[in-house]
Amino acid sequence: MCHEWRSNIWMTVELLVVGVVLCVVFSILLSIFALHKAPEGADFDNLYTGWIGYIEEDNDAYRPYDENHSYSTDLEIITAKLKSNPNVEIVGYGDNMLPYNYSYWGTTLTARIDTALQQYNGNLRTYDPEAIKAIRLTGLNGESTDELAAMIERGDYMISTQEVWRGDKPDIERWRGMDAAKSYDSTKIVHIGAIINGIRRMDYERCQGVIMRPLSGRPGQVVVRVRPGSTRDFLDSLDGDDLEHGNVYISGLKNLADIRTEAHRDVTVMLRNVSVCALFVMISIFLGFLGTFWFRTAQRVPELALRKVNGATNANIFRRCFSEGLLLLVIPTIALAAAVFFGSGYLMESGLASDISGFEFNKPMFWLAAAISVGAMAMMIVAGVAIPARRAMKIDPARALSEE
Amino acid sequence: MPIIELSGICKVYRTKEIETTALDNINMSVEKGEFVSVMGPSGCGKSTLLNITGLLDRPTAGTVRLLDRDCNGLSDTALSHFRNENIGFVFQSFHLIPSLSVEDNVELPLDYRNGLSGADRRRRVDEVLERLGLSHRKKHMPSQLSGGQCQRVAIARAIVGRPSIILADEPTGNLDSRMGAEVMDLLHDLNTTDGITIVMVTHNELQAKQTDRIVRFFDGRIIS
Amino acid sequence: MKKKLIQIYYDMRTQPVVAWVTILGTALSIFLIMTVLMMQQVKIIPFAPESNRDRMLYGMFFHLESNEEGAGSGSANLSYNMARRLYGDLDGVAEVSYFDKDPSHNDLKGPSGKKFTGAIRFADDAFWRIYDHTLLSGRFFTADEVAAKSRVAVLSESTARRLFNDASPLGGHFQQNHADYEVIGVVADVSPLASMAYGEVYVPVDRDVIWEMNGLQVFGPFTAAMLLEPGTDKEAVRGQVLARYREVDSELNAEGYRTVYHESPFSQEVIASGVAGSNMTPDVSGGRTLRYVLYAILLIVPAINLSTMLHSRLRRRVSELGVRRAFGCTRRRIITDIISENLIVTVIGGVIGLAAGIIFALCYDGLYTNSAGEAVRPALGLLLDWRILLSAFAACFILNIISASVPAWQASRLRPVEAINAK
Repeated sequence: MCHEWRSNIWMTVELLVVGVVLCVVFSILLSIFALHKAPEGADFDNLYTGWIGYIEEDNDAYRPYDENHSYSTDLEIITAKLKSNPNVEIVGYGDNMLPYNYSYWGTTLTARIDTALQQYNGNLRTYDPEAIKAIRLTGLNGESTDELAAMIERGDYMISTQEVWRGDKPDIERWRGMDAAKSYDSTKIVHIGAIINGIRRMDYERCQGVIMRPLSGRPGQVVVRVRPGSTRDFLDSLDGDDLEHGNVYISGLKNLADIRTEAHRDVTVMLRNVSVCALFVMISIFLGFLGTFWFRTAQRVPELALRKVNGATNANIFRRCFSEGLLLLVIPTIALAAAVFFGSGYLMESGLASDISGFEFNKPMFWLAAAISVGAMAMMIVAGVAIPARRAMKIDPARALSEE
Repeated sequence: MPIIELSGICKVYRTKEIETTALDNINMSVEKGEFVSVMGPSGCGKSTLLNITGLLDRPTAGTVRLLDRDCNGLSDTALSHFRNENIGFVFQSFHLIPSLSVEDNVELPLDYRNGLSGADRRRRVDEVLERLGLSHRKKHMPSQLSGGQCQRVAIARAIVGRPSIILADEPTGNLDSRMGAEVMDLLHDLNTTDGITIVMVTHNELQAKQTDRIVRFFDGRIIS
Repeated sequence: MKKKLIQIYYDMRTQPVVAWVTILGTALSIFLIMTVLMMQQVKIIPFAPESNRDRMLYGMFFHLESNEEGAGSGSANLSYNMARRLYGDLDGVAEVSYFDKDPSHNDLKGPSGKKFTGAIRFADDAFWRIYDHTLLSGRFFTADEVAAKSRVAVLSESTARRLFNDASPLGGHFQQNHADYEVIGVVADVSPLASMAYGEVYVPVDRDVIWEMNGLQVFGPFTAAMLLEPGTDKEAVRGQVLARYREVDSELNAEGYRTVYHESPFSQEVIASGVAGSNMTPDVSGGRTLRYVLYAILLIVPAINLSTMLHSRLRRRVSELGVRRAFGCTRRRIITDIISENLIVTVIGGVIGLAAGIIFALCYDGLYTNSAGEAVRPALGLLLDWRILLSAFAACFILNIISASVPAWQASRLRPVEAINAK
């Protein structure tokens, strides 16, 4: 092995580079996994959502209303049709109700807590009481969905906990029951009825502020909770007329799960790309060790034959090949451990890791990522050396030495 | 004027532990058109002398003059060009390139010669193969040839560049007596007909006596 | 060349494992490099109807901050009037179109009876002059029709078939979100990869749509797409726009706001990178750096492997190298011969990798997405663009240089005597 020092140096360098790549990839994957598993303040499964369209007076298709009918009555009829569908549990209305869009249409609330004027910036979402029930919202202080729906019905606002904020962090839990000014306008006062658990705009983002307000006026969005198990059949179960009546229609009804998939396509693509990168470097290790040890075994046939003549068993030969391969992993392992030990603190304190990747990290993540990287490389080395090792085992010492 | 002049040639091999003197103050000259044999026991420095003469190795001390040119100060590139134009090599183990055909092996020195067109190169190769009776084998691979044929291909390769000097290191060492005799006949023919100067390292006393002069070596020194 | 090919073939036959590891390693590297490159290039390479991508600039967003610290800000697309104010009649700009860059997905229903959701592109008359859609029948809408908010539409060929079956769509009527439209033209289908020009239904945009914020009428759904005159410097256009931002600033200051300039308008590269946001200055260098780091990993890691493989292959040819040196081959010639032989092997692997990359791109859904995040598959012609093929060869060349240089140099340093006698 000592005579192969040049080749060993190159392979060690390769393992170092691959180790760093794998460490970065696994760190990102662990960060995403941790974020994805963070709890949420609402239930977004089994939901459909769509847009509500209104045929205006200038449209040829507009049918004039009499005194007993209006957009509201048309909407009520559509609601009744939807509710008569056996798959439907709840139908609610609002605007910008659901996550998985890139909207950050928001506003600022200000409230005086003790003597300090605190501000809360949040994504503005509008709900009617049924919509609160549809998303099964829960409160930070244990308020039930029905209680929160009642708050919306009586005109209260709700704000969420948050993990990122602008300016000074507001003391959110003190805001419950407080009056706040909207958009710095002291004539526009709203009452904060409850604090709700944070709702992320995207699964891989930290919770930003959410301001939930009661619906007033014509809603632009519908949310439908369907019974579990009927998600895939729901659209087929609708007739063409179920979604329209008079001058009101529902358009673009879609499963929120599909919207969620599309919204996360960027992250999905990024995850796919880093995973492919990791797989690629691991395959490179495998191919590199396969080729190198194949060649080495062929070159060292006389040596291996001599070892066998002197009593080495097949198992000895096999183990020798593996240990030569795994020995090359020692320096990269030490280097990775040193990098994590000395570098992780700096990366986190300076925020460099987060700035570059857009994800949050902690020290245990880096250590775990380094350990997984070393394990993955060891696995590839074993896989790459296995075939040449088997070949070495099968050397017939007498024949090999006579050929030599 | 000698075509080969070696003056005060020393070659010392140094490792961390030992120092070995392969050649010790060698003075030797070879006239143009001479056929010289170099003999001596194994390890006495014969091959080292041949390598230095052929500019494949540099002496630790002394000068090498070939064709009235001091070769000591030449760069590696200049040495390569000089070898290509003036020296042909024949090795004991033939050293044919196994992946190339006979004609491609013979053409090897011309690959590194400037100023020759492809047609000229092929013509020269064909001439040499014809002369050595190998035309019918030109598309064959070395693995398809006998030992004697391989060595004839090696000789063809050595002369295709029309060198002034051929250096042969035990050219018949791996051949039986009949094939060895054939190779020796070839070398003599090249020497007498083309006037090529030949320096041959050999263990074969009989073959050495057929040459113009024998230089005997022992422990890195010329003893006669 | 023929001798080199023969030697390579012989080499592969005598050392098949090493040879196949070399070719597979190269193919895998080139496959991934080309996949990454193609994913980026298809968003930048000009193709119909976005044949002028290299001469396009886009003014998409407007960002305001309140002069009162900690108070509100707003950023969104532009109102029609603000878009014209900032991007209309600029020197060096041949044509400007004001349209909604994000197609709406609305309900469509035609005489066929089928009801489905289609991508509706709200555009103006200039839209048809900056993009080169293939008009199959009828005509495009005019400036007068846009001004009058006429309910006319141009359909893509496949949408026309869905709405009208085999009947001629020209002059026919369909409903888009329950509003009645007349078909005046049909264009060839456009790939969703042409994110700005793509649509299934094209209708005149309503210039009066405004998104009001705190009484200001600066926001709306509009993007200004500018086709530059050939040879126009993009920075010069940006300079003019910046000057206009300063003019708008002086008026908005009175309302208590100031503009925030984010180096608008944006080039196609910025659009393609996805870093353009309403309230940030796009930084393509970050994405570019990341891509280069990725390319470096995809080149360096296999290059180390290939270097080791080449070293192994050369060790079996040490004697041959010594003989070549004996017969006059210079060190430089050894290096160039080894590098050029290795280039042939690399190109073989590269061709396999490129072919695999193209097949993968054509078959795998989800590799390419348009700006709306929908999965699309590119056309073969787009993937066989000369820029992509040249990039593949460049990647092979770079991989070859990185992997072969050191072994070739080491081989050239062999002393002929030792090499000839090596076993």
